[in-house]
Amino acid sequence: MRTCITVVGVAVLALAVVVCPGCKKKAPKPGVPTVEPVEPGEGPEYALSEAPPITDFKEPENKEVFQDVHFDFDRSDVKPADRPILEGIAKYLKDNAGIYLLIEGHCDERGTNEYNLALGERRALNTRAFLAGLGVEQERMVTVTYGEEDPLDPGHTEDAWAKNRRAHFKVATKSTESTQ
Amino acid sequence: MRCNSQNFPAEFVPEVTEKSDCWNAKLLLRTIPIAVLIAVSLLSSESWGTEHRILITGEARQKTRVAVPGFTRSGKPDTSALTETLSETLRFDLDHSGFFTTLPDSKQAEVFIKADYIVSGNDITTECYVYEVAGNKALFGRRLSGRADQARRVVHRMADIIVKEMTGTEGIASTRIAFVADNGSRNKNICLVDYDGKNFAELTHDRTLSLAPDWSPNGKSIYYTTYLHGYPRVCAIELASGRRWLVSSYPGLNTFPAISPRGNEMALTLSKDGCVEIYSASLDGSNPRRLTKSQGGLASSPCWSPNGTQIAFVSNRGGGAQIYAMNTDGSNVRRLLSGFSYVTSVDWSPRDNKIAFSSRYQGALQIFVFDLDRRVVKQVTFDSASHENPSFAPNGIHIVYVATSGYESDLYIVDTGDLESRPFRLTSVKGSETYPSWSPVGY
Repeated sequence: MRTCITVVGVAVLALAVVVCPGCKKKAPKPGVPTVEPVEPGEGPEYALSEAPPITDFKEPENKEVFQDVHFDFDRSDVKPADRPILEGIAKYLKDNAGIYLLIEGHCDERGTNEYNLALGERRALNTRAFLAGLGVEQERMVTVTYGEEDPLDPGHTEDAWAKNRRAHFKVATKSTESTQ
Repeated sequence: MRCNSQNFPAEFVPEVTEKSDCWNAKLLLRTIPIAVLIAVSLLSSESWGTEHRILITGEARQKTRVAVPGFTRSGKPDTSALTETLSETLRFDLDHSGFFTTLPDSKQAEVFIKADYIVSGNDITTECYVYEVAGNKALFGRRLSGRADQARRVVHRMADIIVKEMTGTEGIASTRIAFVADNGSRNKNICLVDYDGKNFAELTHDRTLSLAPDWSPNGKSIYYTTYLHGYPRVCAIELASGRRWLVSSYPGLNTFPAISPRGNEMALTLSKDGCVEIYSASLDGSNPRRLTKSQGGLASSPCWSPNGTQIAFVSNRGGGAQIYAMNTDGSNVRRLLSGFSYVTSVDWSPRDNKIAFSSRYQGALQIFVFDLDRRVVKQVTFDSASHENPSFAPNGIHIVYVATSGYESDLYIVDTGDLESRPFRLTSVKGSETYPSWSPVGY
């Protein structure tokens, strides 16, 4: 029985050759066992090749402009204190027409994983709406939620939680209509 | 390389060898309520039915004492590893069915099970005869065959038959649980394990986040959320073939697929229109129709009532997270509970009008079961860990949930109808396990 399940697993692993370009930071740490990529063609055709239009968002070089904005517990409204950061980002985007923005919504570890996945998206959307209100075109901003799956600070303290309840920014230069 | 494990029913020939007398199922359902009602919530809100009582202690179900001396092989006592495995499996299944306590001999027992098996070639045939100890009366017998390398599955099926015959309730010994495991890394994969923690297998290995698995009603496919290519999108995997396909890839969030009980449509959470809301869609993700309007808040985590007429979900439209129900066209939205804070992780029992949920209670996230007909809420987890994401077994009695303390999240199973029984830990794999989803049918 064990062998049989393993065979299913191997068949599935044959699919697992596509590495997500937008998730490079998710690459396994050295020493963590991973499965060797399998040559294409050994498994059923991988059907998830339809990529979103932009996936090559990177950490911005201008860290002083693209600072994280933060949220209160179980809240998704942008805090007035973060308005200067968002005004700086809006100005940068207006001055640099070719730059596109990825807004990541994150949560702290309290609460449930599933609710936080939705809450992180709500935070990213509210941040995007705030920037749109400052004159940034909606089409230049993409949202993604990581819920509580990707904490900045893995600690279990109020300080760590406050850091983790954030919207984080990445940028891309869109040179062609489609990158994938 | 081809695996026939999904074709089990075709190779598995149940055969009734004896059925002299049928046990009166009701005799075995001697539930003794020892619960104490300690609080009455009188907070009412938007519409009908937020009143309920909180039941703090549980209730114990009296178990039938059943002697399981273990399997013999070809009619003779045997101490081989296979015989031990079969005997252990049968005892585990009965002990965790919720209805039996196994004993090594018949001295204190009410029921006695005589079990034998033979192996011929690649096949195993098991026979179980069930006797009432008083009067040494035969109740029924069964013979089941299957592949010898799947011997435990044959015993699981036998245990389910014994449970069904003697209690009238569907057993859970042939069920599986899908969940998410991180193996101590930052990647998360969809995994599968038998309900007893055996046969762990990883279904995805994408070096990214895979989250929130949910079963198709026939148990043949699992729908889940993948971050492959950087954005959360819904895809599905067919277990027998390993074939995967993309289901929902709208801009923004695509997650929490929930297939309707009839299997003809799905509910899911999308953010394509600039807010986090619940949509219904065809099974291939097409024709999305927005069901909720959360006024700047969010609505997420849909789950279907067993008759397919209602969808329960989580929303913070009233401020904090609460659970609501609505008709499947989005009408008749009403809040289900009051007096609870941070209510999430809703799951509807597949058999009864009950929902399980997680709520912050006395400083920790605890799991509760809300009987919608009796208007009674029962707490089912108690320790100081953080408990979330309950998922009902197909019998509507057991749930699997996540308990987190420190850096580790682990899955536990508890019998919600017998809180005297201790929760048991499902897996001992490295790292954290989250998002359990119990299969709707056995395999």
